[in-house]
Amino acid sequence: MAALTHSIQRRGRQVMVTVIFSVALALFFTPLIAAAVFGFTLPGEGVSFESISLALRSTSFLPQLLMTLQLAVLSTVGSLLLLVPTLLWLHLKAPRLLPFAEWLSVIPYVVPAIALVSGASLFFRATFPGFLVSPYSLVPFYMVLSLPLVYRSLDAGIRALDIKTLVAAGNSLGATAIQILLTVILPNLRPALLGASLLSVAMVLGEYALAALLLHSTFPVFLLEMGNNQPRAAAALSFIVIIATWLLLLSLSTAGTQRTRVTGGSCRTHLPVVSSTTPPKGDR
Amino acid sequence: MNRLKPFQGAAAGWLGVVPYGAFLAIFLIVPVISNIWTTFVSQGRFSLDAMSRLLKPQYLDAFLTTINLSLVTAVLGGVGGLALAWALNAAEKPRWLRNFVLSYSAVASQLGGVPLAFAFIAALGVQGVVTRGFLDVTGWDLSQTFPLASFAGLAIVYLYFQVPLMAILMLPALGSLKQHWSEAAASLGASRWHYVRDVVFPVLWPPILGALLLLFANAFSAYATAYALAGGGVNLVPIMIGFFISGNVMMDEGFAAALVTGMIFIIVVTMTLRALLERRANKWLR
Amino acid sequence: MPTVAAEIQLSKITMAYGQKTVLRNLDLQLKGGELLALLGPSGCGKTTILRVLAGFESPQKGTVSIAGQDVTRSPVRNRGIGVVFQAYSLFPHMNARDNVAYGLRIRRSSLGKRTARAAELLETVGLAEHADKFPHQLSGGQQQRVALARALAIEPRVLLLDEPLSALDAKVRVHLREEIRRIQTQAGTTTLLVTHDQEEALTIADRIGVMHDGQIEQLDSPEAIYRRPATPFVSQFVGVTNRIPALPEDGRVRVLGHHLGIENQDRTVSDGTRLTALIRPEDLTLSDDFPGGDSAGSGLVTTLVLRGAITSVMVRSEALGQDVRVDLPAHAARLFSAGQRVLVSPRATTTLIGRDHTELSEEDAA
Repeated sequence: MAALTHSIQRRGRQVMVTVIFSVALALFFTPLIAAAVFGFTLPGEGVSFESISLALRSTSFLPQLLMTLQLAVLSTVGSLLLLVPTLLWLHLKAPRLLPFAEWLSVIPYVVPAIALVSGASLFFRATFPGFLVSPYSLVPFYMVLSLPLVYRSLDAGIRALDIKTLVAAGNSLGATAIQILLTVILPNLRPALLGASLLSVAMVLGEYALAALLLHSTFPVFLLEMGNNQPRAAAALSFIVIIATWLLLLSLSTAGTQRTRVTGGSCRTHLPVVSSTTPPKGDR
Repeated sequence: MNRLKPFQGAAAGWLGVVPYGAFLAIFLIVPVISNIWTTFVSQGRFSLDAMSRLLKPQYLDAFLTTINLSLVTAVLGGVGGLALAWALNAAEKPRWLRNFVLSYSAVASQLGGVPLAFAFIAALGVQGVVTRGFLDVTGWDLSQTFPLASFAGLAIVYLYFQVPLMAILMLPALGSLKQHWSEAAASLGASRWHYVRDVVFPVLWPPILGALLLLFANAFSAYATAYALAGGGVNLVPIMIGFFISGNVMMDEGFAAALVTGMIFIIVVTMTLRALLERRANKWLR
Repeated sequence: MPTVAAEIQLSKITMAYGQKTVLRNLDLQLKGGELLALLGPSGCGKTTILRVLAGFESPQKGTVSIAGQDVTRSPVRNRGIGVVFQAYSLFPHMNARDNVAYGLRIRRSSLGKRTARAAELLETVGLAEHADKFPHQLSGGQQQRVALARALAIEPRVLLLDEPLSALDAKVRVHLREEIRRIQTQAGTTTLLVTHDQEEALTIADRIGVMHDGQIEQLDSPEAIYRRPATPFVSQFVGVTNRIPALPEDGRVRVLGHHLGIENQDRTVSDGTRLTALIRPEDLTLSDDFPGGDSAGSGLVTTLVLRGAITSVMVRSEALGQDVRVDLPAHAARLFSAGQRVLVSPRATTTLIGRDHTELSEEDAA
């Protein structure tokens, strides 16, 4: 009897869980499926790729997509080049400054993209008016927007490594600082580097506010313009973008778990997407 | 000599932060400061003129509407997100189902912007798939009741990322409730209700409130989603700032800067409160 | 302190998680006021017994009674039990005093009464001056003291200790287990201690139940468990045991050249099978005096391991092809040095017999 009440309670709880999951999944996927249905059909014709192929043949699609990809690569490489040496330096030479550096890294959380645009155009139009003309001027601002996520992801990866011991071990075996960096530290940081890169790329691919208000043509800007006269094509592209983002971030979490399986180490920390303290990126 | 050493060490430490600090100074801190400077300094003199114009009805209304939208979506998203987090925490049997929901929640919590807006237009817009289907079956036009370019419509779309965000934020806190606490409470004579009242609630309210504050800030700063859905249809602060910057309305740098300053002020207050709560929560939940 | 010395009876308990049966038809009695320790490796079912007694788990079959009253179906909160868990069971948002007073608060005692009781108990566990501290400000040992005070505050009929010391440092562990024993004796509460630490069980329990695979292999006084282990498992789990090959001869065995009686006669022993004698290191002696040339007990001293009052002398026996450990008082061990040829012989005239030698080494590997 007593065993029965326990198991009934447990059963009831699992029924609740199933109900919540079903509702959540239904609500999650309704807009997605709607986008696919709306985007890949034409009234009276059924399934059709007509609207999207028409949109993709538009002259501005390819250049804008390529520009966005360039920006993604440049911002990601820029972030890694700036942050990896800084973080390694801080961990090895000046751990006292780490809290300060981390505090700096979260400032973008309180400066929404729209506020950054306002400040940036005020400052740069007054000092270097030519700077904001080039679309590549978006790169440093994208680096700023993705900074909280990228910093945290890299910092967690470095903390999990205990690089002080690695450097000491490398030194004791006669390796030079460059050798240690290239053959010991960076290979071990690969999951963290990968995670940080994926987060940065996902951020840049979706960013709208900065690009639109600084008058640069990127993919999200193209998408919004297309929505005005070709809603079906816009829906189809939106569906593809959301699925691609999901796969991108999913590959990040599987990279994390594979790594954990191999080393048994604490690499869960590379998964800032599902970490508690990570507020979202600022591109809404 | 000995006196020099600590100085050298400290200097060397700072040296390594110079590129990082300089980068942030140029591309984040100086722009923000010049924004605040523009707000309070007019023609070389300190002035509260721009800030005081924020109190004009149409601008005050934008702030109130934005705060309202953020509050509503934070609270509703908070309730839904807590339920989802509870389910993710309590789920037992098919492991893959839990992982699937978790992985999509993580992604949905980061979604937003233009693609999400179009997905909702495809579902609930005037021509939307769900709207049409509903109209055919029940004769009720959802796009009339909840037009996407309205407060209610924006709230629905914001909930799409607020609910999973709350769930992702609360999952660690729920997981850190120790099974031993409920068992110890039961052994001491506490009923389920006593346990929730005396242990679960006091332990969880700081992280819950902290997460709600983050949801609030998140909705407050959203721009692309609202712009893609409503354009100027809903009087929101970020959209108004966007209009000022892109020159759709009369160019007034000082006033646009004041709007931004007001926005940053509200978010700084929110996030500071959250940081304080988080410090308190971390003390307990380890 | 009030004495509520309740007897406890678990009869025919069967407990399974899904397909896996953890306890089968298990019986266990606790006398009023005693401290009974359940000792065994992890996964042996000892914690399950505690959880069934507490009411955290409901057995598929069997009854649990406390002080003659059937509580099998009572919810945890009505059983009158106090539980101390392994670690981190204090409510993190309450200070030590509020933690201790919580059970009384649920029972609607007046504020004055429960504050006084909490102060008294914190005094008993030696934490009077830490009453205002929160769990995260206390050390692991202090947290466990508060947990003990909290469990005792409701004057439980039964005190359940679930590996209360296993998360602590060795030194704190030794000190705290004596404290637990003192306080338990003082309160006179019937107590069930679950542990995998044999030293803990041997030093503070009135009786020990050694568990293996969901069964209680032996339930006896610590002295009896150690000196007269009933089964090979007990002898190997409690204390250190040499496993020495033995040959059966006329109902006795020949070990190291000596004829010894068999203590566990339940085993059918036929001549010619290979057996193993289980002999404690302190039940062997060493001498450098050889009666003949090829004595079965002869070997070379390989190392001497200092353990404080005793020294373990490791002897390599060529005849057996293995090391034998002999524990001697430190002063006696000084007579021997590494490389010396010595003779190992048993002190007693009887021995416990394990299974066939090969079979045992397989079990050992598993």
